[in-house]
Amino acid sequence: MPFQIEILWTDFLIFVLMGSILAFGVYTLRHEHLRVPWRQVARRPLAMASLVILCAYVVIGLMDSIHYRPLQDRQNSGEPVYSNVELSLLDKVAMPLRARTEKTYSAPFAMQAYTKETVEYPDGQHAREYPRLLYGGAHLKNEAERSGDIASRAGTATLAGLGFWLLLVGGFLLIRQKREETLAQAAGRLMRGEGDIPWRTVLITVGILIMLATNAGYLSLTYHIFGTDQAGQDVFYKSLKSIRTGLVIGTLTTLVMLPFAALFGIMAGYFRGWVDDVIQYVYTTLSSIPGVLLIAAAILSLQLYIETNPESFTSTTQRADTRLLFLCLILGVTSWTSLCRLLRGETLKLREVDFIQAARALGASHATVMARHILPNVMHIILITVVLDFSGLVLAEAVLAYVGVGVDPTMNSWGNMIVSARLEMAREPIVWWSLTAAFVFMFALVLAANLFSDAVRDAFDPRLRK
Amino acid sequence: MKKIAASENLLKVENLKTWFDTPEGTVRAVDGIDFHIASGETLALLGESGCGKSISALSLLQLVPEPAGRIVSGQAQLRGQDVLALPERDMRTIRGRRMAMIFQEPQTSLNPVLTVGEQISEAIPGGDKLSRGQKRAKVAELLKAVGIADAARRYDEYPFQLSGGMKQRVMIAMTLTSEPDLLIADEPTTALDVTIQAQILALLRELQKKTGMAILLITHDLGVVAEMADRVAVMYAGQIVELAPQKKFFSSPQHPYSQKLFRSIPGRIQRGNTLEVIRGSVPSLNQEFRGCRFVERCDLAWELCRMKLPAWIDKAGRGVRCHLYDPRRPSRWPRRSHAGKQAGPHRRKQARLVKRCCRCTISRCTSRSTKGCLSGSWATSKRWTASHWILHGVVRWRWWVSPAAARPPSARAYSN
Amino acid sequence: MIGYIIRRVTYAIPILIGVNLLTFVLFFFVNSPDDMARLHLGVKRVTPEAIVKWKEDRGYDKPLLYHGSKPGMEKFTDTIFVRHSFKLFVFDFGRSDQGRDIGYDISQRMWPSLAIALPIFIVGIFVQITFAMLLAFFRGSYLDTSGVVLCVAMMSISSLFYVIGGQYLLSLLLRLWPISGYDVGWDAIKFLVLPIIVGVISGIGASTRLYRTFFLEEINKDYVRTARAKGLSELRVLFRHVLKNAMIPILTGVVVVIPLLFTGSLILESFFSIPGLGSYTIDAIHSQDFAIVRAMVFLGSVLYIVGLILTDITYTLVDPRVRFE
Repeated sequence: MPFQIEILWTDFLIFVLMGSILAFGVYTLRHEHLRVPWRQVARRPLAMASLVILCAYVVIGLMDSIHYRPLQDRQNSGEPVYSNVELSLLDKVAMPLRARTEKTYSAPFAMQAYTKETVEYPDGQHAREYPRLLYGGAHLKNEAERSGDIASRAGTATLAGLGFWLLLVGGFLLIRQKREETLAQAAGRLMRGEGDIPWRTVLITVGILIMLATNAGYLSLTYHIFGTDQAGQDVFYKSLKSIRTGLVIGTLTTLVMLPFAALFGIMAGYFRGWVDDVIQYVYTTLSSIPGVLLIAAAILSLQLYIETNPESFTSTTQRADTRLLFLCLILGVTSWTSLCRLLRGETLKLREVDFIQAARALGASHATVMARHILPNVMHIILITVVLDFSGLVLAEAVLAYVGVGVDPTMNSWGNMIVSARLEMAREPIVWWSLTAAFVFMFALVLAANLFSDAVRDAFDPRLRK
Repeated sequence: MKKIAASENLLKVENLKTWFDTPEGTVRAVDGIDFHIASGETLALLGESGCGKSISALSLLQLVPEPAGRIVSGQAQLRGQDVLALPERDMRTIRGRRMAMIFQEPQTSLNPVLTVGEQISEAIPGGDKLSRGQKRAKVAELLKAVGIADAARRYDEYPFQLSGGMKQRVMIAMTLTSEPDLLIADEPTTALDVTIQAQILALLRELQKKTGMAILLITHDLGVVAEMADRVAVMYAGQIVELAPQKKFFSSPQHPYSQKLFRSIPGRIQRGNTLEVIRGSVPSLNQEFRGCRFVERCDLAWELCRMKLPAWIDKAGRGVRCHLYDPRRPSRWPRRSHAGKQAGPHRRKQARLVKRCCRCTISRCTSRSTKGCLSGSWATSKRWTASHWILHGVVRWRWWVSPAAARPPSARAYSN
Repeated sequence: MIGYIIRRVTYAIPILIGVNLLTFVLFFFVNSPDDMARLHLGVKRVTPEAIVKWKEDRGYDKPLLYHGSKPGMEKFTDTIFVRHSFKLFVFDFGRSDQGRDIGYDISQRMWPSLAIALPIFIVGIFVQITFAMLLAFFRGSYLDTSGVVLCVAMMSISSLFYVIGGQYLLSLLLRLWPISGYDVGWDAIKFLVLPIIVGVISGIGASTRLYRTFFLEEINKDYVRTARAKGLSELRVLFRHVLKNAMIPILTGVVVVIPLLFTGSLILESFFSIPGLGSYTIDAIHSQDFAIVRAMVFLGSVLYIVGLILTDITYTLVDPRVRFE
């Protein structure tokens, strides 16, 4: 086997999450009454465009979640020896980016390094100047060629992207073509934006994304489009890798806290009495402790455990992964209280509704009533909270990294990029590209998530429904 | 009959159209209504939910919810001044002063965090210049006028401390602060108990007698109409289909819709028979109508009804929008047609079905489709039973002899 | 009312005990008193006797939660937990592990925190409500749509970027105010302006949108239609009717954070080197000073519970429906 599949804990949980989302999706599609609010979400062009962007991020994140160890060499006995380094599918695809490291900082699209060095010429002379980069712009002869080269490459990439996009649109029209009309008529229908779902917006967003991707991909083969950081790593590559970290924190945290919040919230509202008092006590206590503290304590204890048990972690990646998982767990523990409170309030109201009382009168057990009657009726609150919390969690990761209790510093995350960027700001001339890259990627994800969650909330909130 | 010009023109509404822009199309909530109210009289605007009566009232005050709704066309001359053309600033001098409105749900129509007294004194014109004591006195006077006991204490109470009937009285008190010429009452008693309903209606009548204001009473309840109205306007799907003085309306409703309304009310005469049901449902208002809007549900409809919008026929002080009364329609006895989709060869087949005479109290219909005969004319069935011939003849003879005796029984019960 | 407050305060006591217990468990799960002694004494002076003395000085020589050999109730009371925690209830915070008086430190560092947090709070609320009312007044227009999009965009930017961007733009480029630092007395103002600006701007997005939703909910209600039918001007309707009703949900969300203003904002204080309570806590976490952490957590919980009680009282004050129950 040319490689050995490696499943990290977070990878496993991510695929469990994907599986449950797909199952949920299939279940929703089969029930008409559940489809209605989603159809309302699908009608809003802004929400659909955000969904496209979110899907792009998710695809990159998933690609980065399939880890494997490549074959290093074979021993004499024929036994394969796999390398110690875990690579992911994204690493394989972005191998040029990963492999081309410079010595230290360099600006975006630069051809020379950021700092002056003493360069030795073949004839023995020494000069202190900006050395040429190993990979960035290495094919160019001099500075003057650069803009022309960039322009031509960008042009090629855009044309390729445009071509690919037109193929996509053509295929889409073929599928959407109704029986009696020609392709041109279908295209006309698409351009006018007829019908419920805003396909025109979706296709335009896809087109823009494709062209950005082809541009970025092609240009990054010969330049460092976002520059390099202190260790010489390509910043664009680091940003791509950070996507998975952000997504993991946003989604796994909710995966962890959801069952508990739902269980305790519904139980508190349903049983009332002492159960309610106990659960209220627990979540009031938990919410009075500053979250930072809980997270700090948990992370510190994990670090202690790692130091005392080094043999159970075979590589830095695994260590960092465990810390990420722990961070998700503890973030889940600190954030379940608000959902619990909401569910408790809603269950208190639902409890008095007639059909619940009828179910009890017919002899349904507590568990049945809670699972089959109350839970489906509070699903909208759960859904709204899950989607709304996602962006908050991604932003929180950055803050936690700053405080020092975020993800492992060796792991790529936007928080770590920002923290190191802060020190870079003090340099002369200023190193701005790391910060900008982190900002751009994070902003796009959080904005798309916010717009999408807005649409979801508008569709599912019963007070806003017509 | 010409009325005296002065009293006719308190409010004259012409061709009022209010449309709403929705994702499903343009909803023509009010599609060209005309009516007038004389000062001191009560006009009842009758119709089922969704026919556009509330929107008509809101349009008069330019309170249509924007930006979805807009007044497309029309004039509303309040003593000669077109209130629909006024800019917002001038409109504010009309609202609450010359035209006031009370709403259907007293529970939600009052601000829950302001006291009753504060809300009433807000409506007093020039209230900013009055001192606190003067305001309280005026409010107490108004509350007494609407029949709330212990008026002085009520000033500091909040709406949730009052019952539904009292809240509605407070709303009426708010409108009395400037003695308006026209009071628009949008289903003021629908949300109240029957006993309170009677009290509120009595209060409105009393205030009308005292101040001489006109009332535009919007309702779907024929009982309220019988008690309060001087004239009745029936609205259906955004248009006024009948306009008549109250007595004439109850004795002989002209439009098929009005007739059906009367027939579907349970009463002493109907006992033992099945109640009439107006089949079908109100058409959705986001389509363009070519013909009459009632055509799908009308028993007396024929192809002309589907093709051409009936004109407004004004005669003898009452008006109706129906081809049946149009003296210029093609033929006196129109050809029979199914109100359904079939035409042509099926028509002759349908002609063999028994029609039930609308004036009969005895139904011997042998067909399941209940097509009434044209009012007053012969039913063209070939399968009548002998008794039906006899009874029909008797009834017709009675009608020639004494029109009053041959009135539809349901209307008879009401005009007592 | 008084009875209600007393009841809430009594209910708060078990919560505070629980908070204490949880902090205790969390902290000592991470490291034992021995490790703490080693960390504080430094590498050079670590001897078993020094460790014991260090622990004795600070009362860490007792068992954590349960003392097996002592008789009766002393099993529980002669432990680190009880000894250290109960003093908190009389607000005697004791000494930090470095020997400083915590109570004194808190009283000193409270003022810089307040000096930032209070202006951010007041100016922030004012700005947010004004913008929200503007957007609600012009609802449906292009101003409204672009305003909402702007709010969402501002909400999506991490507060770190606001801080870094603000520091770069206003301090480095335009040289209007110093990047960070603090001074005593009135000179401190020039150090405070930048954190306040950054704090207000980073909080605008989310709150404005939320308040706009509250306003729009109220504007579509029936009593607003009645008010308009009375002939009131749109401005009057907005201020007297809509604002008064919308203040109920706004206040309930806002009052709960007022007591927490004392503890300050962790991020702002560390970025701008303001010696407030927030940076105090963060430093304590980094140096693993249990006494300070315990004190700050307790203080934070007390303030949070005070905030909850204040919210309930405010709710009673502004909503007459609740008042008369």
